[in-house]
Amino acid sequence: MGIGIEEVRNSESTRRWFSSLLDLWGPSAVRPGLVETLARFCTVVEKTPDEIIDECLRATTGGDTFVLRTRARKQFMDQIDQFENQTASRDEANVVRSFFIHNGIAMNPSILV
Amino acid sequence: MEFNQVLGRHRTFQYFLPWRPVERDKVQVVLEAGRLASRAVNTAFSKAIVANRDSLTADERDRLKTPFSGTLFDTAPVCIFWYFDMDSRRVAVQERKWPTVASGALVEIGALGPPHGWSHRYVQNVVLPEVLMPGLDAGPQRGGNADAGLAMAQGLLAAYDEGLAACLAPFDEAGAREVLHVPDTWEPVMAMFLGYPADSWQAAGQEPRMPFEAMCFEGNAANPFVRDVAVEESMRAAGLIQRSAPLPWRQQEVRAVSRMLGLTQDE
Amino acid sequence: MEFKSVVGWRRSIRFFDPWRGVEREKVQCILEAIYRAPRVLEVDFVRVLVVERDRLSPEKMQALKTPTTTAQLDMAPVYVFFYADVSMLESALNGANFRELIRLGVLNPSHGWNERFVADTATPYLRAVVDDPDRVPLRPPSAGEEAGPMVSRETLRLARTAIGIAQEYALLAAFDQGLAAQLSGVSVNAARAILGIPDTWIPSSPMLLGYHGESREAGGQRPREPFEEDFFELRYPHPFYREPAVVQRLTAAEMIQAPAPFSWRMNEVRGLARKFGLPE
Ligand SMILES: Cc1cc2nc3c(=O)[nH]c(=O)nc-3n(C[C@H](O)[C@H](O)[C@H](O)COP(=O)(O)O)c2cc1C
Repeated sequence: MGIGIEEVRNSESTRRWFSSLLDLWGPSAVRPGLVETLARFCTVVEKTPDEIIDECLRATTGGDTFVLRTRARKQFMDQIDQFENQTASRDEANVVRSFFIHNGIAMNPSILV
Repeated sequence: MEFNQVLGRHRTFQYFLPWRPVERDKVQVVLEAGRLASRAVNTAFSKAIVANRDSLTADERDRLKTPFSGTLFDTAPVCIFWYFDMDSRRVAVQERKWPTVASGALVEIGALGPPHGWSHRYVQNVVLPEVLMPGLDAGPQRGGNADAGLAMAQGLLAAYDEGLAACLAPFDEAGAREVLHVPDTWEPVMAMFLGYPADSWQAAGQEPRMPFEAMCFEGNAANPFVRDVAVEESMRAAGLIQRSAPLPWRQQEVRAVSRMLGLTQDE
Repeated sequence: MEFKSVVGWRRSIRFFDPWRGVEREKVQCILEAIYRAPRVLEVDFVRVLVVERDRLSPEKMQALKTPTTTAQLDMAPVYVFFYADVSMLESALNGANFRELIRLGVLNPSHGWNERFVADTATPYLRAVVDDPDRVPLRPPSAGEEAGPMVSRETLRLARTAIGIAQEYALLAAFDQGLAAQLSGVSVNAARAILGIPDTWIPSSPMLLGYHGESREAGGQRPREPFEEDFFELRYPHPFYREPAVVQRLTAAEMIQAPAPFSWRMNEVRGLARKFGLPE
């Protein structure tokens, strides 16, 4: 299953990501190619951006806060590592990590030495 | 002063010149230093109330005393009562008035950001509900807090750096609550007595500790950190390690200082 | 370095150069500083444990991480763990520490200290702390493990104060040595297993130690609530007046420094992300 670029671009979690990037780093952070990279990752895991985030954060009963699902997060972290190996690109993998982080899911990437 | 000399100055100072006041600006320096200590989630756990001895009546001082601090309350010109505010986490989380992790300030200023996995949304959606909010329903909990010790320690060292002598000792919690109008959610840490020393800066000499190797470990809790004598010597030269107690003249000094201050010399 | 300047330059550093180890002498200097820190009620609570990152297996490193632990753990070459051995309070009930201080002329009859006072007043004071009926388990029960032994909250109050004092001494000593440091939470259960921590030791956050991977300014001195929120005079809530001239003096001495955030901070953080291959 392929996930369309437009679907990725228009999903709520992508918009949230972009607005947080803009807010924190300024316009230069919303650079070309981000959506395409995320779409490639979505295709690999066969999920839309919103589905990915929903799997990692479960809304509490009140609905205004979330609980981090550590197992789901761990699974995606492993998948991002695989994605990094496949693409042979830390940059591409970090784009995906950035998407998670700005949606409220911390990542624990290794450092490049 | 040089950093290691400041640390090397620490003694359990017991004799303060009761007639020599502590300059107000030096007390402020102590507080300013305490304020800059490291603190978990950048929250104001540490609080302090400053009291000049002469602003307290003899009866009020008596109500503050414990067996460890009786004479100190009567001789040291200034006492800072250090506290841990057990309610400060709730205030940080619910009121978000000040720049803490809960308010998003550390992300805002670039102290913690996406390279570390943090974003505003992470703070709001995960750190708050999972780290900062659990347990708040139970209300203030006694049992101490390292942060209050961090702040007090930095204040203590600033006092030495300002040329003051200092002593940490416990005070009476209930008495202090009445005399100083302390909020119910504050748990005592220690009283810090400040003044100019009536004895020499060496006082009794540097005080004993358990063996270094019983306190410092490496790799695991069964493996003592092997102390290099050359480093120890360099710390002696830097002023951190000083002549250890007792100094040969100490008993004479104590008797003379006790006479000067009108304190008992009975054994 | 001048003391005030050390205080001013200390801030939580969150980027370390991972490839630059810390000289053993410098680690020992930090331990020597902690060793000279004041004891709470003359009890030897504090225990410090130095661990080199590169001696830990990848599995152990992973186990130490929590969802809020971040790349700092990978970056810092040395960790200094802090514990307080709460059983030391019970050991101090024999009054030996007090007696020694009397013998050395630290505690004197002028302040009431003598053999009788130790036996009748000072050690019963400690005994009341140990026996206080408000008690909690040293460790909450966790998967497959029973709760730790019971201890009074009053004991914890003293022990945690002792840890905090040691931590600030350690942080300052690190910066005095030209190093960078930060206290950071890790999984306490993993640390206990990996380091073989005895049952009676209570943990706090370890100090990560290394050389600055970011600028010393690290974006500026971190913000605090107003001074008047924390410091009072004689009776709460009468604030302790903050004299601007003192602030000026401390600014000149580098204790109070330019506040965060510097205008260039976010660009620095993005640069650091690239330096270490971390996400933006
Ligand atoms: C006990 C303790 C635990 C801490 N744990 C963390 C931590 O897990 N992660 C982190 O980034 N900072 C941690 N800090 C650092 C504080 O966030 C920091 O001291 C505070 O924001 C003030 O900033 P400054 O240290 O730069 O002055 C901790 C501080 C203390 C005292």
